[in-house]
Amino acid sequence: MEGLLCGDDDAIRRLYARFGRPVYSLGLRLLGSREAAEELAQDVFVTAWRKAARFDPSRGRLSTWLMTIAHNLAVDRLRRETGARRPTIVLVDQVPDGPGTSDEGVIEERDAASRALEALTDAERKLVTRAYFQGHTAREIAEADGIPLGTVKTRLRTAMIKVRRANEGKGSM
Amino acid sequence: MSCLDVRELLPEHVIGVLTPHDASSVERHLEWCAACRKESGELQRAAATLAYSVAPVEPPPELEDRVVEAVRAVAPRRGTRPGRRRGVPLILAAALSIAAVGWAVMAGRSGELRERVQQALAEKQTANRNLAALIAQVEGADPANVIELADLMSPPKRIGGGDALVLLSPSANDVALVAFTGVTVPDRRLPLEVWLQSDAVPDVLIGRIDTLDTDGGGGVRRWYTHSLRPYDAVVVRDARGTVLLHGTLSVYEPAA
Repeated sequence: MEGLLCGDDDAIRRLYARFGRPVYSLGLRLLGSREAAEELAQDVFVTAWRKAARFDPSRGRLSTWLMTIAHNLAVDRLRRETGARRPTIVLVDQVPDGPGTSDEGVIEERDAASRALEALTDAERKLVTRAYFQGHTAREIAEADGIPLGTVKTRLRTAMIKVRRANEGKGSM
Repeated sequence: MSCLDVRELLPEHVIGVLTPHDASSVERHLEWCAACRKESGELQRAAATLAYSVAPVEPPPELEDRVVEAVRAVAPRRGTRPGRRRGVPLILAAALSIAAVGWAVMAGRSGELRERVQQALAEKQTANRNLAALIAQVEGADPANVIELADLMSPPKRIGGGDALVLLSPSANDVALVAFTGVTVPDRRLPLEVWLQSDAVPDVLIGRIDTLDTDGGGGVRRWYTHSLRPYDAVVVRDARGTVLLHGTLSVYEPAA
């Protein structure tokens, strides 16, 4: 992170080597096009540099911090581009295969994601998809489905707690 | 906002879909409530895990170079190492205080409001750049300080304007200062709210303004214990949320 703060090329490339693929993959799934995913990846690493001084490894993992930036930027773009078609995403109870990785932190995160998805019911997976991957608020979901806002909030909280429990026991990175 | 209220909003907060107003309220609560902060951190980690549930896709090879170039393009201007954050030096505090009252001094001239506002804006923008230069040169100031300025513009068919100054300091508290004039709104649309905006993190409130001076002027100033680096714009809204003034922050470059 010290290298990143100084704009050191090697530090940026090392960070990209670890997280470039998950960031790009997330962008592609949320935003639906290669161009948007590439723009997102650039924005994520620039934002990471801007916020590097605020990263505190004692309070969280680097992978969490970086993917939170990526997700926030992507959701913000989804919500800002009113009328833009949101890509259709269906979460299944297994993390799909893709190009392999040797990064232990990323492997661990993918394992945790697998455990989390297995723990969710079909309804919870759909709810998480609409909120996390399509950027819908609880109110929007409640209005679309014609169910009470409180019910949506409770279900979303229950689903997130299940995901959190699947996270428990992971080490720090 | 109670812990119960905050806990109810935390799932949406970590997913990033709360309104800026709610997100800001949650953030303020988290600043002092360790229990909710712990819960928020755990949910944040859970949310980040979901990001790894999508099928990994190999990015195009040229993306790496583009990312490096994008970071390099901004890093030389703002690349500073973190340091111990402490209070703002007294001389700097004094300078900012002078700036905060600058608009009031300019108010009260004769003539039409529109004319007075335009004159005040022209003078104030010059004054704020002089202030930025003063802050940059002040004895004892951290040479790694970065000053950002924004011209606040009003939407079409409205008058009014102002400017914002943000001091980013690796060794002291960051500061945001906003002053404006010519904003004409009925009392029922007060208080006004002044926010720092960011694409990456929830917006943060600089302050509320309950009353305006006779020329529709006002100002706010706030010190922050966290960095203001992620924020790139300033907005002034009325009580209905209508944008009255908006401006994009850019790094102040002292004349060579």
